Amino acid sequence: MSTTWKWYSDAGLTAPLTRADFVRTSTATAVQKRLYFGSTETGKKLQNSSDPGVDQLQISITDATTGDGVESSDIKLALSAGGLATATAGASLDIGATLYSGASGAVEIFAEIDSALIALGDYDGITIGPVDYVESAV
Amino acid sequence: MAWPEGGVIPAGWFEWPVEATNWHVDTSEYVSPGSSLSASSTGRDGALIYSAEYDTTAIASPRLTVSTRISSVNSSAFINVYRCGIPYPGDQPPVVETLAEHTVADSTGWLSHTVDIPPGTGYIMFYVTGIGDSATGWIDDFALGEIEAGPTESLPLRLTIEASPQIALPLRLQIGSASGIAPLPLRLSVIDEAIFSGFDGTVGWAPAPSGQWRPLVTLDGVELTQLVGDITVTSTRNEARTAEFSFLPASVIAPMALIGRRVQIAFAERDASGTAVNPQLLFTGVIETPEVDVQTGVVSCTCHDQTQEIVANTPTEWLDAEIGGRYRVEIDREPADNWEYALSRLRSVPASIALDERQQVRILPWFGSGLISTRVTEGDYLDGSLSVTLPSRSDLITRVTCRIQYKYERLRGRGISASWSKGILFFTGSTRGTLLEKPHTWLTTDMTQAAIEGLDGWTLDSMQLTHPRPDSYMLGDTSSEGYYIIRDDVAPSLVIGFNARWNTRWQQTVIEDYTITVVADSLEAQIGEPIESETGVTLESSFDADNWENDPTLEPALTVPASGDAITPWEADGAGTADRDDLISTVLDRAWVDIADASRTGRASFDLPLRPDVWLDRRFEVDAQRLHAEGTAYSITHTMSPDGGTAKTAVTLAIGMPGNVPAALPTWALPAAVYPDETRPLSSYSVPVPTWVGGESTSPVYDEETMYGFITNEDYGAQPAGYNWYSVALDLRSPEIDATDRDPITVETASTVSVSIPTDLLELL
Repeated sequence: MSTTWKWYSDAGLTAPLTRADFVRTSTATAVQKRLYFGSTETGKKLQNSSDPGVDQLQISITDATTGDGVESSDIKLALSAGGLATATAGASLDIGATLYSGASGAVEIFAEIDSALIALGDYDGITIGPVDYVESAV
Repeated sequence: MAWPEGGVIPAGWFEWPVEATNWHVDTSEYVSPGSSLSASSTGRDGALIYSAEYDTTAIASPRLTVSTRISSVNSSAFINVYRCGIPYPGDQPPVVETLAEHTVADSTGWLSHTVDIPPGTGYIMFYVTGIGDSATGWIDDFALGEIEAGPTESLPLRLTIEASPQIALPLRLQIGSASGIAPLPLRLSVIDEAIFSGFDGTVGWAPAPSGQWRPLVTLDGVELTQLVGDITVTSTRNEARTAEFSFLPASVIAPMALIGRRVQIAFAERDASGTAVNPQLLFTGVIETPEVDVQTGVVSCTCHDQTQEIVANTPTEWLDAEIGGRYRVEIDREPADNWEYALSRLRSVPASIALDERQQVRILPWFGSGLISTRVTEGDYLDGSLSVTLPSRSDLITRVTCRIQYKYERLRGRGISASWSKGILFFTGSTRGTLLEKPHTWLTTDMTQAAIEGLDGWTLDSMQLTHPRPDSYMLGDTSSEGYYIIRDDVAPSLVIGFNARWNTRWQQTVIEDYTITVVADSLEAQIGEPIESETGVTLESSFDADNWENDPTLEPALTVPASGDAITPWEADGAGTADRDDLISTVLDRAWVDIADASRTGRASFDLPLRPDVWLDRRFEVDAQRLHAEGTAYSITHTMSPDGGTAKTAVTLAIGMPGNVPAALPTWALPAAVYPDETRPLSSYSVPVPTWVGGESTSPVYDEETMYGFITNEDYGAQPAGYNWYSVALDLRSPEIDATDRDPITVETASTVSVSIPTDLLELL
């Protein structure tokens, strides 16, 4: 049984995302994106596997290429655009104890990369995703 | 005799241990050492070993402990505790009640027993008794404890836990999937800032300074290397972004398998090695229609960015929050999906919807904040590409007449009353002094009740009848003129006055008919005449409680005054006055947006060397030799022609009427419906009860239409000819309810609202 939760670029969970591209110029400015985490299946729920329904699901930031330029500490996650201002860089984001499938149950996540990098190029290595999760039928 | 302190029998009474054989004592004495007891073969005998007075008034649940140590008992023996009526010594103490009897036996230690003592005061005796012959025993010791409080009485609480299957906690092992969610990679692309410069007359092509560029087209993430012909990407407000491209497949493909495949198109600089530098995405979407040229094998693809599908799938709540504005289902009816819903909501907001190059839904304002301002001059656009068309008269609207009808039911109630009375002399007659009165036929109780209870169409609230007092009434100044006697058993059947109240309720349909004309005065002055559009909508608050008018037990209840009207508007769910106001506001918002939208049908177009960053979120100021205009991007088309080596961006701006004055959606002051005066005269709430008397010289001929109330006759026992005599009756007739109170009414309200709409800079030089 495969997990059905995925990342999307739209609130209706129609356009799946395999990568979130943040584009900016060589002038160091913070760039934000809205991402949607949800499932288009029916009758599913996603919970923290440690204590399902009680513990918060978390979206954590992982840097597979530490020191390449964009670091976890350059990333902020929040549940609202305004929340980015107070979010702690590099910190995981609580997204609820139980998520339900369907567009209405999708979580809108605001991500920001605020890096001092000015050298032209593409910088990969950072991923975001849930940890300790379990998907089951409602 | 005081209670021994410490609970120990004081010395001097008798010495312990007491050895007793046959346990016999003279019952007039305390038991003493050496005394013998004897019991009959069948009876019981015993010895008083202690007696005392007690007072337990202040002790709750008093009790004491009696302790004995007795040995050599060879028969049934007991310690008995009695309450007696008098102190001892003295006469044989009469036993009032037995407080305790405890069996005693050989004991080397103390045997203790708790004895409950009655509350209050009294005397208590302790006996040792045996049954049968040769009963022997040795009293080693005897002691009494203090009288102390027993356990406090308390309310026992019982918790009953019943064994039940529901209490068992079912444990379910659910095996879910705990892996498989692919982490989302984040990529930060840092591109040369210079590629975003170059406007405002700056020469050069910022996105491709060297003039070298190349398209990037990927199919499911794999770059297509054999592109053929032009590649175009078109974005238009409130429409899907479309793209077209052609390619020569590197291998055999199934054209049908292309449908729905994911496409991305980008524009990039091309360095000396042919590598794409600073790629900028222009399009993300899917192939809608592939076509194959069977002669050349070239596959041409028409693509779109799934705008309608994505918006249709977007939750309503998200659209409400992002779009703002208002929506009423009464105007556009139920939308087929959320794409229609979004467009309907956008009718009340000066904004458009579109997806950006990464398929994210964006709400794009027509003007104001949220737009990127850009100035272009002749050095920026391609020669000969600038053109402008002004709004045509057929497209313009200067005023919108909005007709909103709000139809609802008023739940109405009316209370009416009747009051009538006569002095008793009116019935008995009188020859006394100045109180001359002829006798008249009585109004009876049956007659009155029947009339009050029979008022057609009205529900009786209350009724009070006044009967004559049973008595002998002197008819004249002296007793010789006789008496009118009303007996006790007759008085209740006669009536000299009554009061009654009734109510009724009904529905009245009301139509609030608003005609509000929204006029853009300045626009109308600019054009020189009004260009009108009309819109209309109805909101109905239906009331479907059958038979509510006739069944006073049916909800909703209506509190009706004793004499007056109660009027309660019925507001059905979704059709109350707040909904009415929201509907009116929505119609007015849409009217304003319609006028503003129609005013910006002018178009200015020009071509730029391809600018990937130019999209619908830009507002351009065009500063050319013959045109100075400002407008918001309405449509953008990027065209890359690798074969011809050209890449351009065609920009079409929506330009409003000239004036360059901003204006925002107004905050409406909604007109109030003015209802007609609904004050009614007192007669509308009264049941008239005139009195008609037959048998008088002035008594008219009976007329059923006009003669109602209390109808009676002079009463002399006979009815001489030559006079009009009536049938005695109480005929109550309720006041009519005016047609204006009962029939549907229409409350018309007309008003005109002047508004300002934004204008743009538009100067033809």
